[in-house]
Parts: sequence; structure tokens; C-alpha cells
Amino acid sequence: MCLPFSLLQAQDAAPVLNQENLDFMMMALKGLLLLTVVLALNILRMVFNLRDSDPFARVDFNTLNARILAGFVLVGIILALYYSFGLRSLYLPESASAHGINLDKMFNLTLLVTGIVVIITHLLLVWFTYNNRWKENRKAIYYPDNNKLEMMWTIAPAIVLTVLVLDGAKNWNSIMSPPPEDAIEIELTGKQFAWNIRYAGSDDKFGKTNFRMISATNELGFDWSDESGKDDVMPGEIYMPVNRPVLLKIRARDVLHSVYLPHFRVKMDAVPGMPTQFWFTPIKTTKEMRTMLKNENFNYELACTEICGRGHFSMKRTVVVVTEAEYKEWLRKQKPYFEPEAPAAVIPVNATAPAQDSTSQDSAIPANPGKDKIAVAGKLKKSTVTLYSHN
Amino acid sequence: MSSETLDLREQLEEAPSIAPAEHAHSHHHGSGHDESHDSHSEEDELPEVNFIRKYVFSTDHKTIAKQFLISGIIMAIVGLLLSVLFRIQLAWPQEDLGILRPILGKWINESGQLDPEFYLAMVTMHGTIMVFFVLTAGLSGTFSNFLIPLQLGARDMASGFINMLSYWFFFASAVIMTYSLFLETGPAGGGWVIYPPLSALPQAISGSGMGMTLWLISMALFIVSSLLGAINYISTVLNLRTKGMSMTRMPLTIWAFFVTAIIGTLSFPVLFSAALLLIFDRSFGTSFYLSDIYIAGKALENHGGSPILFQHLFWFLGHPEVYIVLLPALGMTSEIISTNARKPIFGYRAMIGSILGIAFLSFIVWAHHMFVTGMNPFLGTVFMLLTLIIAVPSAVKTFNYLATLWGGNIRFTTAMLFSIGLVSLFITGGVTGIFLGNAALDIPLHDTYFVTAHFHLVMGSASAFGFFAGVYHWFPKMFGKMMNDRLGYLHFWLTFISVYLVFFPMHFMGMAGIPRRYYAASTFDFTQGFTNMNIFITLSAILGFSGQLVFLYNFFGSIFKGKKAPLNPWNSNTLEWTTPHNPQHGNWEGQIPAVYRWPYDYSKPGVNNDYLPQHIPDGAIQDWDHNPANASLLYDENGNRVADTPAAHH
Amino acid sequence: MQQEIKIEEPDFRIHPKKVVLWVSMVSIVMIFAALSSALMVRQGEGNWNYFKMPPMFWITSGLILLSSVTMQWSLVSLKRESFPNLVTGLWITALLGVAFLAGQFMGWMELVNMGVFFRDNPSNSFLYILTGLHGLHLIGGLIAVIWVLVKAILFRYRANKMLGVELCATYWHFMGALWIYLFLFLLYHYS
Repeated sequence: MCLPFSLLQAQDAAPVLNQENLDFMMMALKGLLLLTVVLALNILRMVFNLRDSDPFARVDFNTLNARILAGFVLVGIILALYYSFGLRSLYLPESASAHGINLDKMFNLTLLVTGIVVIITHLLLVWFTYNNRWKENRKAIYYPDNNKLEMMWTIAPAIVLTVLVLDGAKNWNSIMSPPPEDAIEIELTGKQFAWNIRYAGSDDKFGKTNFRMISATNELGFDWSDESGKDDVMPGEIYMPVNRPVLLKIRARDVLHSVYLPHFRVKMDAVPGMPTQFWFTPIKTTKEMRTMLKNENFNYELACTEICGRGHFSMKRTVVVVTEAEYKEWLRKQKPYFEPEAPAAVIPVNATAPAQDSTSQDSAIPANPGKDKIAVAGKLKKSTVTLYSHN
Repeated sequence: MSSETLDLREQLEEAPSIAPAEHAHSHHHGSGHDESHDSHSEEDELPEVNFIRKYVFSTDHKTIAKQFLISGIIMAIVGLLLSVLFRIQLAWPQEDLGILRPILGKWINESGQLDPEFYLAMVTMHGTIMVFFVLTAGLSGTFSNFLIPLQLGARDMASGFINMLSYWFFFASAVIMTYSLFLETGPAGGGWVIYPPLSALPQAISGSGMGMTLWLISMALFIVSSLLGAINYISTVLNLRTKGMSMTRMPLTIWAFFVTAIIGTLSFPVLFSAALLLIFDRSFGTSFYLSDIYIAGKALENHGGSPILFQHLFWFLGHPEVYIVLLPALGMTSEIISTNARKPIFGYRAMIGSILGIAFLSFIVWAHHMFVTGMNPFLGTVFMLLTLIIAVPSAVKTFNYLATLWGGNIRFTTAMLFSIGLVSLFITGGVTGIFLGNAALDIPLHDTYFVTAHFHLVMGSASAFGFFAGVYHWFPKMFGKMMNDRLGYLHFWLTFISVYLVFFPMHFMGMAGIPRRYYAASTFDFTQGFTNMNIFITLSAILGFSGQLVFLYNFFGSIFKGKKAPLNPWNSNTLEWTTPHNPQHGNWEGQIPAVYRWPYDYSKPGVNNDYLPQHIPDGAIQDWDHNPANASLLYDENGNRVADTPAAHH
Repeated sequence: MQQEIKIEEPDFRIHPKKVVLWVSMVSIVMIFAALSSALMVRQGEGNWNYFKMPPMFWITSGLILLSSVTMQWSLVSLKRESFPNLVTGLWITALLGVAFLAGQFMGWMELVNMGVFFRDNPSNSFLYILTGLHGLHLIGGLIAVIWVLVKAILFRYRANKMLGVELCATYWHFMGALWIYLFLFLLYHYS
């Protein structure tokens, strides 16, 4: 997310925190570590007998601690600010989606408000503790309460938060609004450990699927009796035309996954048994982004962001945003998943099936898509369903 | 002795619930009645208890508190070790981690790579152990048990027997959870939130086999332990306060423990239900959470379930749980800051109000953990609104702490340092909650390191700091010795600095979109760029870990070799400091003191000393003021000093 | 120095062990509240089996209500120090409790005969789990009744030493009330 202060420095400037600085930081940390170890060992040596009379009698630890606290907080604030800005080239770049621009603005506003609160409260913390560190003959001020003050600092945060909530609600409702009619639908199905991508093909309709029909040759469990599935394509990359709304239809095959397009500020869980969706409008093509970031190898990416097992960190798909024309061209070139001449690997239909009652009609499993006529999967009556296993 | 001076518990023990007042007057309590054994179960009326009864299966709240304390520390070491181990993976993902084989055995493969499933298992167990075993049991279990009777002027908890059961259920739970770390198939690996279907299907991740089964059994026992503890705390706070201790004269510590117990009573059973249904899905073929699943080459039978149902049930506990973790720490902070600033806590009633407000609101915000699950957007708006409201009482508490510090006369004892550190962490961690509670902003931030930074600062570290503050502050009471102060300062600074060094950079990683629970950053372009940062964080974590070694040395060493503690080393007002050292069963020898004021009269105008204990009658203030050593003595309600108790001679 | 010192008595007058019991009961209510909510949410998603409750449940409802009557009778008898009645009442309560559990089990058999199997559909599963969980808690209550019965036979109770019987009675009534709630809830959501 790019901070407004980047007005002073172009998006593509060399990061303040480059390798050199990081190496220095490493060295400093190692030095600090060494110092601490030496200090610790010394202290341990001196206080080995915990009941020993005080070798530190001359040190006023109270003042020392007050000073270290003040120093740490002040240095900490400075470092936090320095690195927050200095590392900004590491943050996500400017949003590549329309709603993301608003989200980033809201983030920045919240950051500004909360940042000010954190800094001021910490300065007060330091000021109050340092000024009021123990003095022998001083008496503290007996000030048990003040209702007006309580009122003030209840209402002030409430007002600030209300503003943020209203802003958030506005954005939220806009993001979660029903998708526009002309949105391009892309179906993403998460599985361990990859994403299946599906476009509806020339008929603009997704074919029916049934998870019980999934096999090695039928990734989504297409029910081939539904003709509209026969032109569906399952490419290895996600292509989207710029400036047109895209509706992601999100599903999961085995466990929870989550569709995450960081550059587009898109996230939606993929739930087995409960399809979800998320729509957005990409506003920057991959080419534009490459130019902006001065990185010819840049690509938008899709990642999984709900813990799903050993390959959770490796569920990658590349996302490409192109012009309308390029998109149409690409789509035209995609081959349908359905292959009428697929080599026969005939797997007997009820090989390992237990006895079933006659009411279930979903027994026919396409071992060889397109070759045989497939019975339509009936509505499940009882749970005695044909199971088959492909390993 | 007239019946009014009788210990109220004796009256209640004998009389039925109807009109106890009448029975109180009509009862005869001769001198044969031994006051220090009231309200105990039959076991405690034995004149002598053997070692096992005294130290192992003890019903004494102080012993049980120490049992929780030691167990909590041990589990914390385990949890911390796990975090250092997986941080090593994150810092050096390409390196040969063969040196870890002595610890991790087969989980490091031949080429020195950590098994990705075990990485997830470590993350899961770290979370589970820290949240439940360390910060719930270790924090509440220790301090609620130790302080509630002592600060309220009670001889023990309402039921020592149930209290003992509470500890041993916890112990069993901890043993099972720790054992699961060593399973062949590994411990549970679905995140500490164990969402199904991942946690329901052993074929999805190996930890969801026996590891998950043991996790569930352990947690069932843990929930029973927590509930047993909570019911005791509630009853004791309601029933066993000493004379003069109205609810609004209780220390804020007790208010925090009390409200925490109420929250636990209402929320833990819901986790139990969630776990129960999960057990059925895992082992008995039901379909509460599972539907339409094809995994490991098979389409599963389950139909009609919803993983989202689990999330609702889980987070209904999950969110109040974080306040169960936090409130005791906040309560103790009120106490410690007030005592060490020599000032009344600012806004006592507002503090109580905030605790109650936080408790109430904590039950109606749970779905802010579920904004991106595909929920009805309207629900999202509602939960966003409620979540941001809960920031208000939290802010009130923070400002009250600051106001307490203003104009004080501050002693930077180690406990005070940790309490001040808690305030700092609470602020820094709390404000990032404002980002995440905003449903729209949660979309890019959910399940990234931004969340990790948030909860580690506001809940994990803040509560850990509360834990340390409590240990340093009440160690003299628990063990009769002082912890070494300089080692304490060292411990604090190492911990405070390393906590910020570890978790602050994670905000940056969140803003870069780095997801949580990632074994490595190797797959994606957008996750590159934090190689050095990860090393930096890991080194800081190792620094923090070594800081805890200082604590362990100080803690265990001081138990045996610490300087002998004065009776009231912090010159505190509360009742626990009026008992003798290492109080025996029954806490006070002789009569329990009554209280005459709230516990926060520090630096009161008109009183010479900068503190005025609760138990000094108004009539005795002059006397006490000129000789505060008398504070260890007890007074009757007419202001007369009672016969010297042994406490006076320490 | 003598002066009028006002010391307030703690204002809370319920026996500590009773508070412990009541708070535990709140926890138990929360388990069933959670399961009830889960059921309602699931039902709202469709694909729900509707069927009649097994007739045996009506009988067991009667049994448990009756057992509350006998339990209360025992309590009142103790207050009047009528010890034979106390023991008799507790015996009958215990037997009715066992009969209740047996009846519940038979109710399950009736469900199986109706074709309502545990794992077919969450609607079925919920039914078994709710009734089963209640039964488990009732077993706890039954153990309490037997414990109290033994102590009553040994003359351990008096009119001014009733705590054990009171606690037992409270819990037992709670189990009855819980069942009535559950039964009505199930009738509502399965028809």
C-alpha cells in the first residue's frame, strides 16, 4: 500500500533500506547481542549470591530505568517511523483494482489516526513516568477520578471510531454489492495443493459438475451429460481484461483454502460445500504494472491464504491483465477441457462399490469422458452412494 | 463472642439457604469450634496432612496457585521453544537444518529440510500451548487462585476440592497435549483454530490423525479444568468476602478475575460443543462440518455440513478467550501501577465499567474473525460496528492508566516496568485492531502477518507482561523471599526490546501482503524482499528467548536463595500483605481482618504515610500512621489492636 | 479510641456451594444453547429431515416430571424430618431416573426402526447428540441421587443439615427442565 508521503519520492526510487543498510542493521544487532551477553554475564557474576549486599549501591536504578524507558520509547518511535517509510518499497504497490484504491486510502487514514494516537500516548507515558520518578519527600497527587475527563476520553474515541466505521461500512457494502451484469466469470477451485481455473467457454455457461465424478482425468468432476460443460476451458493462468469487472466464483475440493490476489486487494475463502464469490475491476494491465515498477519480470499472483496442509505456501497461479482485445484473443486460443478422443483408460464403473439401493441413480462414473453415455446424477436419497477410488 | 463477629462462612455452612440471618443469631458457637476450618470439605478437617495431601493433591488455594504457576512456566518454555524452532525455518529456509535433528528427529529429512507439515504442527502447538496452557491456565489459574481468597479476606476458595480437581484436570490435559508433540504422525497441524475439514481429515494432513484426537481429548479436559476453576472463583468472590468488603471495595484485580471467570463460564462450553461435533465428524461419520469433499482419491460420504458452522462455534469462544487472557493481566496492572505510583488508580468505577463493557461486548464480536468467509455482508457490517465499539472501553482503560501515572511518585520495580510495558504493548497492539475490525480493510489484511503482529502485541505479549508483573510483585507473598531486582530489570529490558523487535516488523510484512502460516516465501514473487527481515526477527526472538533464561534463573534461584522479604515489601494497601509469610492453610492466624475502605488510598491527604491499608479502622489511623510496622497487626472494628499475632514479629 | 465504625456485611446470601452449582448449571445451559443454535443454523440451510418424535419420548417426559415431584417430596420430607419419606422419595426418584434413561434408549431404538440413522443427515445427528448429551448429564445427576440416598440411609441429614439434598434436588429439577426444553425444541424443529 503506498503511503501519501511518497509524493516526495517517486514510487520507483531506490529503497532507503537496501542491502547495505540491512547488513549494517545485522551487524548492529549482533553487536547488541554481544553487549547484552557480556553485560548479563557480568551481572550474573556479581549477583551470584542473590542475597549479597548491594554492589550496585551507587547506581540509582530508579532513575536509570526511567531514563532507559524514555530513551527506548523515543528511539523506538523514531526507528518505527524511519523504517515504516524506509521500507515502503517492500509494501504492495499501488492497487491494481478499483476498490483497492479506496481501501488503500482508508488504510492510510487509519494509519494516520492510529499513528498519532500511538505516538502521543507513548510520549505521555514517557513524560509522566520520567517526570514523576520517585523522589524521597514528594507526595503523589491524590486524584482518584474525574468524570468529565472520563466522559471526554470515552466520547472522543467513539467519534473517531464512528467515522472510521462509516467509511468502512461504505467501502464494505460497495465491495460486497452484487456483481455487475457484464462481469466476466472465472471459477477457481482450490485443492491440495493447486488452483483449478475454469472459464465458461463460448457458450458463457459453466457446465455442471459433481464432486463424486472427480477423477484424474476429470479434475472438476464434470458431468458430461450437461452439454454446456463441453466447451469449458481450464487454462493454467488467469487472464483478465482491464477495466472490466471480474467475478470470481470460488470453490474448494477438499479443505478450506482462500483466494488471495494481493495486488488487487482481493480475498475470499474457498469452502468445500459452499461456493463463494468476489467481484472486482482490474485497472492496471500487467504491462502497465511492469513499467510502473520497472520490473520486466513482474507478474500478478494468486496465493492461498487459509491453512490447508503441507503445500499451503506453494499454491501459485499467475494472473495476467491484458487489454480487451488481447483477452478475447487469448480466450479464443484456449482448448476446452473436454477431450472426445481421449485414450480409453476404462475403469469398471462399480469396481469397489458396495451394494446400493435402486433409488440412487448416480452410479455411472465417466472413466472415459465423452465416450459413453452417462446417466444423469440423481438427487441423493440416502447415503449409499457408489464410491470409487483412483490412486 | 457475639455472633456478629463470627465468620460469615460458618453461619452459611450450617444454615440452609432460607433466612440465614435468623440462624446466625440463634446459633451457638462455642469455643470448641475451630474457625480456621470452616467451609472446607471433610478432608481438610484432618489434623495432619501427609506430604502428598499437602503438596500434591492439595486443596489449599496457594499451593494450587503455585502448581499452576510452575506448570505454566514449563508449558511456556515448550511454547517458546517451538516458536524459536519454526522461526529458524523462516529465517533460513534454504539452509541445512541438520543441527536440529537431535530435537526434531525425523522431521528434518535427509537434505536437512524441515517437514512442511511439521512446521504447521509447530505453529499449531505453539498457539494452542501459549493461548490456553500458558496465558489462560498459567495466568488465571495462578493469580486467581492465589489472590482471590487473600485479597478478599477468605480462608480459602468456596470449594478446595473442586479447586484441586481443576488443577489435576489441567495437569492431565497438559500431559496429553505435550505427549502429542512426540507422536509418529505428529501433533495437530491445522492451526490453533483447527478449522475443519483440515482438522477432521487425517488424509489432509498427518497431524489430523492421532495428533488431533489427542488435541481434542486434551482440550476437553482443559475446558473442564477451566470451568471448575471459574465456578470456584465466582462463588468465592460473591460469598466469601470479609466484613466490610463490598463489591466496590474489591481490588480491581479481583474484579478482573471475577469477570474473566464469568466470561469463561459462558464461552468455554461453546468450544466444547464445537469440539464435540468435530469428534463426531472425525470418528463417527457425521456431517456437521463436512460436505462435498473429494480428497486422496476418494469422494467422501459426508453431506450437508458446513465448515463455517465450526468457525461460528469456535470463535464464539475464541473471541471471549482473548479477553479471558487479557483481563487478568489488565487487572493486575491496575493494582501494580497504583501501588508503585503511590496513587489511587484513576477512575476506579470507570475501570469496573470498562471491564464489564469489554466482557459484554466480547460476546458479540466473534464474526470479525470471519469477514472473508463469504458471510452475509449485512452481518459483516454489524460485527464491524460492534468490534469497533469494543475499542472504546479499552481506550478508557489505557487513558486511566496514563492518568494514574500522571502526578505519581513512581518506583520502577520490575513489576512496575512490566506493567508499564503492558500499557505500551496494549496501545501499539490495540490500534492495529482498528484496522482489522474494519471489515473492508480486513480483506487485504486477513491472514497476513499484520494479524500476527496485532495479536502477539496486544494479547500475547501484553498478557505475558502481566504474568511477569504478577510474578515479580507477588513473589514475596508466595515464597517469602524477594526476587533479585537487577536481574529483574535485565529480564524486563531484554524481553521488552525483543518483543518489539520481533513483532513490529511483522506489520511491514502484513502491508506487503505476506500470508500467515507459510512454511517458506520461496513460491511467490510478492513474498520476496523479507529475507533479511526474517533473519532479523529470528535473531530478536532468540534474544528474547535468552532473556527468559534470566527470569528462570532468578525465579527458581530466589525461591531458595532470595533475600528474605519484609511482610509488605511494596507498602501496598491490599489484604494479602497482612498475612504472615507463606501463610498456612487458612491464611490468617486468628481472626480475618475486616476492611474499612477501598484499596487505593495511596498518598491520601491527611495521612502521613503514602499508603493506608484497607484493614486499618479509621480510629486506628493515627496510631498506625506513626508506626506503619503496625500494619502487620490486626485491629478489631473498634480500632483496638488485637493480641499480637506472630505476624507482628516477622 | 471508640467510635461508631460501620462495617457492612457482605450482601450476598446464597450458600457458596449453591453458587458453585448454579454457575455450573449456567455452563451446561451454554453447551445446549450452542448446540441449539448450531441446529437452527443448519436447519436454515435446507436438506433437513422432518419426522415425528418417537412415542417413547412422551413417556420419558412424564417419567422425568414425576421424578422431580418425588425429588421435591424427599426434600420437603427432610425439612419436616420425616426420614422414611426422605429415603423412599429418593429411592423412587432414582428408579424413575433409571427408567428415564432406559426409556430414552428405547426411544433411540424406535428412531432406528423409523429409519432415522445417526450419520445420514445432520438433522438426525443433532437429535441423537442432544438427547445423548442430556442423558449423560442425567447420569451424573443419578449418581448424585444415589450418593445422597446412601447418606440419607445413614442418617447424615437433618432439617438444618440439608445442603447435600438441596443441591441434588436443584440439579435434578434442572435436568427435568432441560429435558422439557429439549423435547419442546425438538418437537418444534422436526415437525
